[in-house]
Amino acid sequence: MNEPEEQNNILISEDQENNPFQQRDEDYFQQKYDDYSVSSSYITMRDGVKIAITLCLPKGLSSSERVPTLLYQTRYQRTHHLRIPFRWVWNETVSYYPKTELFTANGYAVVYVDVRGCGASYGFRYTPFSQDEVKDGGDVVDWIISQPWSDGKVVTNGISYTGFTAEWLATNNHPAMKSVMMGHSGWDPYLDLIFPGGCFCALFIQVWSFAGKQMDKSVMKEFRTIAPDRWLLWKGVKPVQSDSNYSRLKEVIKEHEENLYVYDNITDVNFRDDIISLKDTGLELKFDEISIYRYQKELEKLNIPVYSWGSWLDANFSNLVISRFLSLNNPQIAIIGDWNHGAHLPANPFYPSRTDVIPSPRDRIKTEISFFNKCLKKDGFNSKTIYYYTMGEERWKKSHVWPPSGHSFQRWYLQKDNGLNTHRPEENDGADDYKINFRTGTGILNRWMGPAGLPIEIPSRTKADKKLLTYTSQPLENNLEITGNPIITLYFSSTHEDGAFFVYLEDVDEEGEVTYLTEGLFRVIHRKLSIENPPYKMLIPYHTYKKKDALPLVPNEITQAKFGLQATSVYIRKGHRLRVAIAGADKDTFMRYPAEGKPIVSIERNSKNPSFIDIPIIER
Amino acid sequence: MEELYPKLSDSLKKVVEIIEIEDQLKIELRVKNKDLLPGDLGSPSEVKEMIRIFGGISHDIIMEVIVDEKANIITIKLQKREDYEIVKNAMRTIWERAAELLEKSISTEPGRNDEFRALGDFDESY
Repeated sequence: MNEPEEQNNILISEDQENNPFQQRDEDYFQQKYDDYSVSSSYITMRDGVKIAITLCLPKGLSSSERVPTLLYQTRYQRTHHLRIPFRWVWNETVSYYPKTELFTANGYAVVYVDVRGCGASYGFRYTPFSQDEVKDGGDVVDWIISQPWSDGKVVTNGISYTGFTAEWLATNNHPAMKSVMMGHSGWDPYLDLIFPGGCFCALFIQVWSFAGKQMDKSVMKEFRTIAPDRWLLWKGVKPVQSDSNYSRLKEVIKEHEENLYVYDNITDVNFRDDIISLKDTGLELKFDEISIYRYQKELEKLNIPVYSWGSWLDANFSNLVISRFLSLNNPQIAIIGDWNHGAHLPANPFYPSRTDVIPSPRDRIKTEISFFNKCLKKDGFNSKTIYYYTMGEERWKKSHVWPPSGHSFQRWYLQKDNGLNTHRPEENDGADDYKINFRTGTGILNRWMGPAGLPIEIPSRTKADKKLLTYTSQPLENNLEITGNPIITLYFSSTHEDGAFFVYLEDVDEEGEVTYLTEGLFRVIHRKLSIENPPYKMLIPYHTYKKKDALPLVPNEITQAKFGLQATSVYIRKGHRLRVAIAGADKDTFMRYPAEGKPIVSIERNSKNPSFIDIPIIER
Repeated sequence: MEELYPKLSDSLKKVVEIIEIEDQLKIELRVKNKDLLPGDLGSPSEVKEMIRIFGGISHDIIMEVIVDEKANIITIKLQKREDYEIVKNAMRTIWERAAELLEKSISTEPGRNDEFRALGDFDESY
């Protein structure tokens, strides 16, 4: 599709009010300082564990000036010891460029923290988001507000893991906390990343655990394969300033040898309520213990403003931005755009060859500073708004409610001859057999590997669909906006007791080119629809994913699976067709279900058992 | 930070003055950054690594490296004229090559890293 440049420019100016990155009040962003100083040290936690921090202060701060602090807690090395010649021209905070200079220029101190057991911090790490790690955040805030340069106010932000740590920090309800901002972070690790739709996201968890282990050892060699720029640039974590002979870093690395990693402990786990035995420790863990959705009340207690952002194409995070928007009563900005994990690169299925992300990191960070500045002012920030980008239409929109006004579901039935239309089938019989092809997949640069910080590639689905069971509509008579979570209901039988569906919603243009819109995946043993209240608000059918609710299939017996696809916002042109493509595997990314065998599924599409997809549309 | 990569070579040229002392088979790197802390200039083995990996030298060259942290000067002494010529030529394009490698590294698909593998290893010990 050719990009309508001229039209886009007009749209951008028309839509300024709806574009979250055009909402910046320039008064809120003022270059007050030209440069910043960097220092690092250990601070001691309540139990004696020493945590490494790097402090960046605006240069030229007078002894009487007090500034707010941006706190950023990471498990990926707070700052980096650069190799030469890079450290001759860049300082240890360069990986964050241009964040540190923008925040300090605008009068913030910035504190980067290695969480317990990571980077140059001492301690043992047995799980992500442990309560030890969460409480450390509160101790760090105590330290910040006791510093002579601190005005007693702290805000926090982060992307991905650091987004989680930002949100967890807020659960401490420290009175110094004034706002929290999380990008591309979830609050339900089971569904967000580890078992989306109940399917084990093995590749990402393996890569992530492996990368974490290398970072905790401060060895960058293996990054040559997965992130060669990191390997070229970084020798490892930056030791604290006083550790010029690396003696403390060596001690720390020794302590980290005891650390545990998710992949090593989870390969036997299937259900949300499974007890995870942590190897060689006698420790046990449940997903609930590391799931922030359980702390909604704590997050709401101080009523601090929340800024939550993500992308339509990155893992499950659009669903999570929406769930957080619906569930939390705090004042809130929510943003969902068309970029990769962390918004370094574009990710828009209609324009896969774009190279520049909009907004630029600089513009995005300025908007974040503007938000924090508003939160720190006396009158604060009190509204609740979600901004979302409709791909294909290339427009920002905003709403104070979700789903946005004009929303309704349009039901499209799977039909004979691989058709798809809005009429319920009239035939009494009719089903399509599909022998699961376990060689199908979406590659390794898909949305589920996005959280590794990789580009998200959205290649044409034309070839991939040839291996799938597809249902395609007639050309649309009108343009169609799809915004929200499509929900699919499949009546089916299988030759096996276990299995999974990977369902893709697609746009087929006049030439037959197929464009990915969104997808949903679901392990069918979790299909029991729960009548319990879900633990947080969601707009898709609620499955508990608990062991007690597991329902193995009875071979060759017809049953129903109803599940949500990932939320999206796309614009389908008149003359294009909609397609539902059904697979039973995503070979590179997810565990195979069942582990063995060659199942044949039969998708029912008749008056008795009509399979259909409910598509969320916006009336215009 | 990727937006910094294209500026890297110019930044290094501004900060590092390379002086070729041909009659003594010596090359001096004068690093004009007052904010460097002890250790930032690098150890002799790091300097050799930098010349090998970013200078694109694929074989071992015997050299003596002296790091003067007070004066911020690194002296590279070669024993043979042909080695001196190789290192001198490598140093003339080393910053461009470092910047090029960084730019390439961010557009390389994960796993397709033959070029980076061919660069050899860094010493990862502390």
